[in-house]
Amino acid sequence: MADEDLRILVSRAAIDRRGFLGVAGVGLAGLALAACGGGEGGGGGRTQVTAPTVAKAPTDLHGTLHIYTWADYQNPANVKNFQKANNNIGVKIDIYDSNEAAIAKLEAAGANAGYDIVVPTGVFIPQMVTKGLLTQLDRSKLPNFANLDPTYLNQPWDPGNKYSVVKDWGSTGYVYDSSIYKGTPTDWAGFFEAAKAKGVSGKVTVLDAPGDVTGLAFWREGIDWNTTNPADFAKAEQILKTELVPHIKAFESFAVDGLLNGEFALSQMWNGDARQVLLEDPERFKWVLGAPKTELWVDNWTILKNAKNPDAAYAFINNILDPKVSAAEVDYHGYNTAVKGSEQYLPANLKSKELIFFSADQVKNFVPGSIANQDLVTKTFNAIKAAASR
Amino acid sequence: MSVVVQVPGGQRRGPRLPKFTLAVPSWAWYLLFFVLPLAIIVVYSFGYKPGATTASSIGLDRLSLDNYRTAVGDKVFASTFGATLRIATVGTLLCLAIGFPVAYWLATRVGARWRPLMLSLLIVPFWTSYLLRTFGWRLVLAGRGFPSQIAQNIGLLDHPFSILDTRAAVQLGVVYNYLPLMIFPLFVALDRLDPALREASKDLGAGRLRTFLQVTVPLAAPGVVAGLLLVFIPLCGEYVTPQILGGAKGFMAGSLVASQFLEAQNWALGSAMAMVLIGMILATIGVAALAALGLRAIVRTAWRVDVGDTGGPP
Repeated sequence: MADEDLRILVSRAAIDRRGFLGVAGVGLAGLALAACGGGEGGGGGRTQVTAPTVAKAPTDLHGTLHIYTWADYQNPANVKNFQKANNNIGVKIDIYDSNEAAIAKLEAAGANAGYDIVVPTGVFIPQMVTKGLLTQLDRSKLPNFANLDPTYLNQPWDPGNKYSVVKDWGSTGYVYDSSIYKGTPTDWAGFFEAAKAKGVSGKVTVLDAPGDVTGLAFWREGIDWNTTNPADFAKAEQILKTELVPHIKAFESFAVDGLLNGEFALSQMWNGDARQVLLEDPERFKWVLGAPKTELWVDNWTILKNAKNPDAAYAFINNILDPKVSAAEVDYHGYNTAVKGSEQYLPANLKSKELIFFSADQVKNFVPGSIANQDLVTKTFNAIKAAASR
Repeated sequence: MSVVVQVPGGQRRGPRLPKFTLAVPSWAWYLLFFVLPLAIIVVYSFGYKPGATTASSIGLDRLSLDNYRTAVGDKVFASTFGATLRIATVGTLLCLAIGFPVAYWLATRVGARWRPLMLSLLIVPFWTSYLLRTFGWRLVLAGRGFPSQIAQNIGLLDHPFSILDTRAAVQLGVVYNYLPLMIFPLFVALDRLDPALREASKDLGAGRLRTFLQVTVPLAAPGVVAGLLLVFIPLCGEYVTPQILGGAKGFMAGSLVASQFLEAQNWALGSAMAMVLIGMILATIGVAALAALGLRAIVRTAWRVDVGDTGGPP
């Protein structure tokens, strides 16, 4: 009992890679680190692969590499191996829980805040470039860049990948408790349908991320997710207020525990988190990928302009683009790293693979976001939240 | 001709510092960490959100009242503030209702030997982050939490309770987090009260209730006011506790302000909303203060003791 309680507390706090809880990031970062420390070996349903050792001659890297990233988003074994192969270089990882907060901090600190590597979501890269935060990458120091699947390169936010390298990407769908809901939903319309059902209503959660909530209506209705037309937002607000708000229990970016302990019955989730639920109980929980359209988010490696240790940063990123290393990453966080040839190194018994590797037909329906409609999205999201709180 | 008065022991050594010297650190602190940040927010509130093509986070070359128009005209803001005000008012009154007896008991009933221990017990929770303590409440309130299970096991409940993610959880969470802020000023006020005053009231024939209402409470009034302000003001801006415990029901005015900074990246509108929020809180306090003064005047008139002509000069 005590153990179980502790686990609930820790993983709630640790959130996840995109942990958007949005509350005081510092306190949570502390918790997240504590969670990482305590969670070694006990990573839920993770199959434990031994991370590959990096076969490399000792380099002249030294000092400490500072990485600023999302919580629980890095295979510690890979980090350790990287250190071993490089004169036991120090690697220090700090945590943030929203792109906006991270950018605000980097900007206030005069471009680097002591970090070398930052992992922003794609749509935030243009403003980071404009603000002069990022360094233009020297591709000659990243020979493993060639391993990346071109499908995920050359995105609108960074044409030609001058500033960023794909870390991993994912999408949004939902998980429902099939012991409560007997329907067989296949798309976003099915999500709204299920939310109304008896036993489900009042136990529904959506992501605590503005774009993903307005997206529910846009994706279902076939409206461009990146619309800047206020009329579209008025329509989305109307749909969400009447069809979703009466059934919502919480805005929750990490619904894993809530689903497992029966607090939630239907939760909008990112695929990596959804996979954690399915690994625990694949009979009871079902995953549905959003359709007809859904989100494509891509998180990226970037190097800060005033990085103190750029050589170590290049070496670290290059190392992680190695198929073998990448496979260990996938096994750890459950997101697709877009590194070609990594699949063959994944453990044969890797479960719920379909939540990591999507078919070309599915990917076709993934839409990258933008921040051009940030104000309208936030306004609508706040209206939904205010309505749900009544 | 001047008379020099020799004051015994009045001789000074060394130069004489100006009188305000001792106040400099506190004024510097106040200026640096209150006035300056507030001034920045005031300036930002007249700015605008720059386009994605500019390097700065706020545009200040063109100042206007647009943000205030948006903030005041926003129905969501008004209704959310209404809900926040309700939670803050109920929370503050609950803190007073719970805090006053505790402070009174501490100040008048607990012996001098035990008082330091009791006071430190009130402070000890502050050694742990309030985030952790608030997350702890999630475990306590959860349907699968131990209180719920115990209640079911002994037959008090026939189903797990569902307090988590409700308004009640928000209310409980804020009262829990802010109660010490109410108890301390009340304790200080009550502790300063000379017991002789209560005894005098008794000697003059007042009963216990009358002594309490007419002697103790009026003398503790500064503590009550301090406690009310200390709890009410931060409660109006609170959004973390409600978000952790209230789920979808924990949306506060503070969440709206935070969302402008952390989601919309609209610092200008966020600043204006913060200013409007401050204004609304001040207005609420002003109205409450006027009501309290009016009430006091009425009570004083009603309780006036008529001592007849005997006291006056003939």
